Amino acid sequence: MEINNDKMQDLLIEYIEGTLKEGELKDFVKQKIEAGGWVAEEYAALKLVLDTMDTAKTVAPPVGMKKEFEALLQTEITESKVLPLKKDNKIWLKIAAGLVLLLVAGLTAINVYQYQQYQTDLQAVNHSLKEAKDMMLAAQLDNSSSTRMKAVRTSFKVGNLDAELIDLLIKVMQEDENANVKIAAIDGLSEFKNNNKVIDSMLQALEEETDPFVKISLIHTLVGMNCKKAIKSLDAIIENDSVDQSIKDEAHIGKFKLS
Amino acid sequence: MTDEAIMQLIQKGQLDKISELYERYHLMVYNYFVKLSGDRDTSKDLVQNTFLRIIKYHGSFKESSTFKNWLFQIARNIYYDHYKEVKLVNNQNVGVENLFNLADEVEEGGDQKESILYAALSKMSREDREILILSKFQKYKYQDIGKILTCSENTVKARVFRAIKKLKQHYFEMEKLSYGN
Repeated sequence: MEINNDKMQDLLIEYIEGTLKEGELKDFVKQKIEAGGWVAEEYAALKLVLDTMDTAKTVAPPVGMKKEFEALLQTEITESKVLPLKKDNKIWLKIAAGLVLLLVAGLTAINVYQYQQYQTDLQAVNHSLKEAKDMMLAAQLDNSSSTRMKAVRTSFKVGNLDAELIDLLIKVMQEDENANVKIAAIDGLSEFKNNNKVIDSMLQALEEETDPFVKISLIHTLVGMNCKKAIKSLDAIIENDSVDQSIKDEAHIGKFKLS
Repeated sequence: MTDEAIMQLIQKGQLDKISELYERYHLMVYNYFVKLSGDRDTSKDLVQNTFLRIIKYHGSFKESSTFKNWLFQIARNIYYDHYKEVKLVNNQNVGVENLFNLADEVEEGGDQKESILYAALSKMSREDREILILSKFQKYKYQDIGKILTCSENTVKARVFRAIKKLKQHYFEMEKLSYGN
């Protein structure tokens, strides 16, 4: 297997970090290091830098920093405290009666408040979901790739994406004219490794995509999602003579990782 | 007691419980700021502000998130707010001199490799420095960094690898200079 220098460096970093799984790929890297030459030199250089970071000393904070914080904290706590009410023994009966009334009113108010709060939260979630959807729909008509990118990023913030928003992200991944926007959509979809529709759409995009960066991003994402179904598509890339060598390299490595 | 359980107590009004979280994390947060900016004095103030901001915004902590990730999101915001305030946020050279000072201090302590490392870090963009600090000095998992930086694990991994390659290049340039001197 022939791998370009940049990809070899990535493999060496993974080898040093210990994240390469036992198997053919790890053996391949080990053999390359043992064979000497550029790979061995590169391995030694990367290992030195990574080990130096790994063993770098912790910088000690200035003396008295914690004490200073405690003082700041006390001030903060004092300022946030509510001043206590003055005690008046003569009117304790009135206060007790008032408290009973307050308790009853309070419990009723809490129930009403909790219901209102629930409704508000629900509305807020629905609102942000709607906002993201509207933005995504509007962005599809927008000529600016940065606006479309912003829309994709906004959709990530919604948290629990619903089916409609996932469909919009899939559409962006398949149809947007800008590679960076497509890659951002792939990034967002990578969170749904258990969603068959997402996986199938990614596999289809991997087959049809012509931009090398997007294709590589799809390979990385599918491998990162540990999608075994991708092996067949990766094989097809490896065997296709018209595919760029850098993409074939990624497919090779991806296949090793998934096997 | 877990960090998240302490946060629940703080949310219930026991604000002094922040001291326990401060004890656990102030060193980590201080090192994040120092290695990012190289400025010890500013880093100290930024640590205090980070924990005070936790007190102020404790209500926004969600039970579903981990405290450590939330803490570093706040620390990042504090850092960027600070440099925006002093109108230096777009100046990539901020902290370079300070990082060189840190490199000198480390060298005086006898560790030349670490000294070269800080000098090499000073040559990098703030974004690259930050991702290396989180992943390699603070030992954050790529997945957690993704949560802090709101991007996917794969994106983080690609950015870390790119930054390592750049750092390696700067490291050996600085080493040459160092031996040249």
